[in-house]
Amino acid sequence: MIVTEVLRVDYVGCEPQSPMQLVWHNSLGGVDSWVFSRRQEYSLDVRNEDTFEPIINYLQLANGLQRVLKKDAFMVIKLGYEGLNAQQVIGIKEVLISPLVYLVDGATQLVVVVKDGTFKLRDTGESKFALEFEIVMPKLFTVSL
Amino acid sequence: MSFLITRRPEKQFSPSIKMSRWTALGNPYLFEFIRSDFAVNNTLIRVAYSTTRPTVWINADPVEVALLIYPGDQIYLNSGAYNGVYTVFSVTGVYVVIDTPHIGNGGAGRLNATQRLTNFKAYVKVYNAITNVLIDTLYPKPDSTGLLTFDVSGVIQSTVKTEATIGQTVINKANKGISGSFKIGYGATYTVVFPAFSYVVTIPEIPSSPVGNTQIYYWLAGARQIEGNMPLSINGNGQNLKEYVPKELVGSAAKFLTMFERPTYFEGFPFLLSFIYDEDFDSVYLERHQQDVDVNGTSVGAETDDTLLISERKYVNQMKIRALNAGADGFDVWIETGGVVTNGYVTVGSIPKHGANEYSAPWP
Repeated sequence: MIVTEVLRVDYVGCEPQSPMQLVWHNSLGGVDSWVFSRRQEYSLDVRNEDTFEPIINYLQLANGLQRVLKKDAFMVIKLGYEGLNAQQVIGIKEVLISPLVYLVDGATQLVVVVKDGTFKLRDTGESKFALEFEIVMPKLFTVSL
Repeated sequence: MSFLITRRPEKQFSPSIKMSRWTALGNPYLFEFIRSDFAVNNTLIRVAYSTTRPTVWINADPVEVALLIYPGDQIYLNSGAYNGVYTVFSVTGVYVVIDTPHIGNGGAGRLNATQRLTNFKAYVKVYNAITNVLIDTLYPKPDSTGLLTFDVSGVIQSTVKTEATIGQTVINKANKGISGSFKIGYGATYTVVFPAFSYVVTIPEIPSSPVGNTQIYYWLAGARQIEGNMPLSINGNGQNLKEYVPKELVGSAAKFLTMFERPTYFEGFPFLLSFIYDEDFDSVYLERHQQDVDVNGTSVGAETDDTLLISERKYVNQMKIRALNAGADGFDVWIETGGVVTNGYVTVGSIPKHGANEYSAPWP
């Protein structure tokens, strides 16, 4: 006796260029995933955590007025996908509101954070849709003085 | 005096008596209780007691009524047109005349002696349904009408351990961090106030023990949206996950826990489908069925079926899929019931999972 729906699953057999798979906990308590591909933009988000201004006795001998004690650094990756249909947007948009998102690379799973913001999901003037957002990788360990 | 559950977070699979008791934890997980000191038969004019004021006919012991309701007392009455706080005009046996004009006849309902039975406080105990260990006890108070709508989601939330096991090696695996089950016990305390003295009464916990046939409720770390008919939060769909709960019923078509109408499986990348492994399948195995299809939806290769691990039931499960046949451009996947479980074994022609022979596998 069949007890569930018959779910049709699409299959992408060729390995995409620059694949990056995200797996997330969706609103239904299940797990969904998508492989983003082709183009990702990597940025380094750096913030000065602690700075101080040392006392300068002899200006002629000084080599600076401000020193940094510690920096925070995060790798940020901009991901996107084009040519999506409506149901794919509905599915992928869950990654934006999920509290738990994994970046999966082989056997490695990293918990990443999707950067907050306002995201364009649909444009009724278009038949296909695109989605773009940024994920923040785990904080880099940095040297502190 | 009684304090009872009047509505539960469950949804019936009509015409069957089976229920969905799975609720998303991101929404309120509501139980409704009602305090009822005395049951009321009806409220109408009884000339023997008053020709102008309505008389409430209470379904109770007249001695108890005489002890707890006095002329001049404020009482809460819910009996048809009479719904609110009224002053008692006179008491004769089980007939209570209230000091208000007659506005029609009232039917069955309840009367609360709020002036004599005061400081009413409920206690609700939430137990882990697997271990029967107490998770927490809360002390909510009903409103002035004796109605108490109580949300247990905050208590359960403390047990959530969100995690995903993407690299699972077995066909199906329970995600015990984001789903689970609980039971509740409940009761109340109140103070009986007489002119000369008062004392505290405790209504014993119902049921008396969490062990046994206490009703089990299930939760998962999800959140339904308003279009999911949120106003029907108790006994309605609302945050209940009925449409995602498979049952051993003809016509059961539970959805998988995916937000995609058609998910996509990328070759070489982990792919899991989540579903609710319900308690209804304690005595029957479930099977994953998979049929590969080409770009036109025509079948490619033979349909396959693989038995799921029954030990993972009563949780949200993550299910792997099998490798696709050459020439496939997609596949259909669904779950069917399989062999009957008898003492942990499939009855016909099978060696149980994890077992070298029919005697070696433990009852899951």
